[in-house]
Amino acid sequence: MEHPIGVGKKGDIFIRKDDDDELVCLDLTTGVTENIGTKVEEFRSQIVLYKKNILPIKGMKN
Amino acid sequence: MFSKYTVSKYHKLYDEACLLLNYFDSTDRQLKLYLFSGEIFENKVQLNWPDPFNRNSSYTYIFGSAINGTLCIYDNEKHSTIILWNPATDESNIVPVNKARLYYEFEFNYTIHGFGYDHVRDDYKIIRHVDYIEDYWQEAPPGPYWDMYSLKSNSWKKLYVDMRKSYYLSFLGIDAYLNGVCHWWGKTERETYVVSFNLSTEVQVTTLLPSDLHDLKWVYRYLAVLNGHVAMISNYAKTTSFHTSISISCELGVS
Repeated sequence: MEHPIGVGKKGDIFIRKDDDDELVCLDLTTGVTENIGTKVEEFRSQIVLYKKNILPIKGMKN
Repeated sequence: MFSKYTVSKYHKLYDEACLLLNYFDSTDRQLKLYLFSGEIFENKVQLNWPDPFNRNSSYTYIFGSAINGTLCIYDNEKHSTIILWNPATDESNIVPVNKARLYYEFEFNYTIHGFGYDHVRDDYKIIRHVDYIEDYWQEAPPGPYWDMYSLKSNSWKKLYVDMRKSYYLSFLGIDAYLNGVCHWWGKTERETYVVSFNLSTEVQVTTLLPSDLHDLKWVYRYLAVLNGHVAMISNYAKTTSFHTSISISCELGVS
C-alpha cells in the first residue's frame, strides 16, 4: 500500500511508497509523481502546510 | 452531499507556503523536523522542537496545520502535553493541564480532535476528548467527555455537546481544519461520516459519506484541505485509489 501523508501546494499530495519508503509528491492535475529524496517511516510521518508569520501567538488583532 | 471536483485550481492559501516535514527517517532511525521552502522546495532547513519536546524521545506531532503561523504540537503518547508554537519567532505557549479531569481517580486517555481559530472571539481553541478507563469496580464518571481550551482565557472548559469521537484515534492526517471549523471522522457499523465542529458557535454538524464509500474494505481514511475545501481521501488495499471529494460539511459547519 501507499499512504498519503499530507497535502502540499495547489492540491499536491505527498505519498510514502511502501516498496522503498521513498516520499514522493503527486500532482493531482497531471498525475506526475516527483521523488523528494527522503525515506520516511510508515504512520510516523506528516507533512504540514505552513505559512511564516512573525505575529505573536496571543492573537493577530492585538 | 459530496461532489466531484477538479483539484487544479489556484488558491490564495498557497501563496508563499512552506512545508514542514515531521518524520521518522528510516535510514538512520531518527526523528526529524524539516522546513521546506522555495518554488520547488529547494531550500531545506532542520528545525528543533521547543522545550520540553526537544529533550524527550517520545513522538512529537503537529496537530492539523499551522494557523496564522502557529502550530499546535503534542506528545503522541498521551496527548497531555500540548504547546502552541510559532517556529518563525520560536515563541511558545504551554497549554495548562486541565485540573478538572485530575479530580477523578480514574485512569484516562486524551485525544486531541481539533485546533483552530475562533474568528468571533479572536481566540485559538483546542478540542480534546477524554476516555475514562472503566474496570470491574467502577463505572466512568458522567459526561461531558469533551473539553475546549481557549488561549485567551488560558483555561479549559467542559463542552456540553453530544458528538461522536474520532473513529481513528491517534492516527495522523485524519482531521482537517478550515475557517473556524474542525472536522474528523465518525463511524458506526452502518455509517461513516464527517463530524464538523464550529469553534465559535460550538455546534456540530455531521455529513454522511455515500454508502458505497462506507462499504469499502481494508480502508484508511484521511481528511485534508485541498484548495480551500475539505476533501476526504480513502486509501484501500491493493489498488491505490485517491478519492478526492468535496464535502459540503465545511459550509454547513460554518453557518
